[in-house]
Amino acid sequence: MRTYDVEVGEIKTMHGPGTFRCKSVGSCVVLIACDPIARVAGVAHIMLPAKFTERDDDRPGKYATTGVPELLRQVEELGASRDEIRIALVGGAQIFSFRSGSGPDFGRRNGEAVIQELAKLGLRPEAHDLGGTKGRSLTLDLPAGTIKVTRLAEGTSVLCTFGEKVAKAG
Amino acid sequence: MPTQITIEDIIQQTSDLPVMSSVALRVMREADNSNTTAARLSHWLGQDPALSSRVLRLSNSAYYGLSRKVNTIQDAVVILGLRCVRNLAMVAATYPWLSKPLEGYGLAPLMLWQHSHSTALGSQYVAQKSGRLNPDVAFTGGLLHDIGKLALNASLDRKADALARLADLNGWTFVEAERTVLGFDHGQVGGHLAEKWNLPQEMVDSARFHHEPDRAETPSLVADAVHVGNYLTMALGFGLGVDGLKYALCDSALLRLGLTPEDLDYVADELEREFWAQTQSVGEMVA
Repeated sequence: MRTYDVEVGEIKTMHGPGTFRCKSVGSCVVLIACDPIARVAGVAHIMLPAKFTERDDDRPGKYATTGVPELLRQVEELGASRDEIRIALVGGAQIFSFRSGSGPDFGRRNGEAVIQELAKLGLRPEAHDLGGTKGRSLTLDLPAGTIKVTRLAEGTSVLCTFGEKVAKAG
Repeated sequence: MPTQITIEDIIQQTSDLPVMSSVALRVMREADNSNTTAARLSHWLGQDPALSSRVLRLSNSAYYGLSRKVNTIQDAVVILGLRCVRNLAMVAATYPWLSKPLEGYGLAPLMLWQHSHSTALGSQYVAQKSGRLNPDVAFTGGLLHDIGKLALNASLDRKADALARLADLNGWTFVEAERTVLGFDHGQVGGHLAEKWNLPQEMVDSARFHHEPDRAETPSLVADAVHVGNYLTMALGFGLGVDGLKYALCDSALLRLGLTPEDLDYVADELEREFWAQTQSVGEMVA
């Protein structure tokens, strides 16, 4: 079975079965798009809200403004249907910083930017584990669509299983 | 009444504590001296053939994309520049012990190395963006900022999760939890170790105050740059341990560096690009 590691700035997609892994997620937001019926999923490891330089060597997955539409395009190309795509977000941790609100606040801004970009496409996350001060790692297994999140010093828990409704209906 | 444990006791009790290469320190000092030459740098690096050979391997890594092989340190200085060879010597000298696991902090093999190298690059870019301090000094400060963890690792054995929970419950940073439970934080221990190694004062300050630069009696721009470089590294998730992001970002460090929060977006963007380009290829070459 395939296992894809998705590093900062990357987008990876697959037609299941298989596993995606993201290790050591800090303030980045990991966007997961999964169509459990088509057994297609994709993961984008987004690090900043928007691109602000004109460099052409950047991967679209680095930024919310480019990563969100690109992930959707790629999973649809693999056979996912827009009506069946389910969304989850993980990450967006923050340092105890800038309680005054004057700081860079990467985690919060990334989360907000991804949600905003999803809304433009008529999508919203139905499961999320965002914020806090802990590093996270996560796995997404296909075809079940199970997302497990590990918080260091806390342990692992299941965030959701996108394929559950499909299995019950079947 | 129990005897008070001192930082020196902690350091003495750590059996596998690394020793900083005196040749690498000499090379760093030589390179920071504006009158130095390629021949002098080559002479000093030649005192440690193993280090010298690692620096040559790094010089020939794919990252630099040189069209011909570099065979001597003098060639490396001429082709890559003094500053680059200086930083490569520091990387080659520290990799063997920064790449080891630190179970106490929840860091698997290579994670402290990735975290330290990313902080070195981040501190360097912060210094460049600031324009108020030497980027090479910031690089070395970033590379060595967590040396205190090497000594505190054993003391943290099986306590780190409890420390993290204690920090959560009380709204503390991880260094506050370390000070409460262990008596010292890893910055204080790192500063002490840096003094024992006779590192320059900027390195002592950046190891000691990288989480709380306002605690320095005299503000240190190197500690400020390392503080911000470390913050960016944690935000990007490079080498996160049990302490996670349980630290505070110090607004006044940004003010002293003359940086805005928007500048940090720019530096984070650059850092991510360089991290992938350098950290992994450098790690493979020097291992």
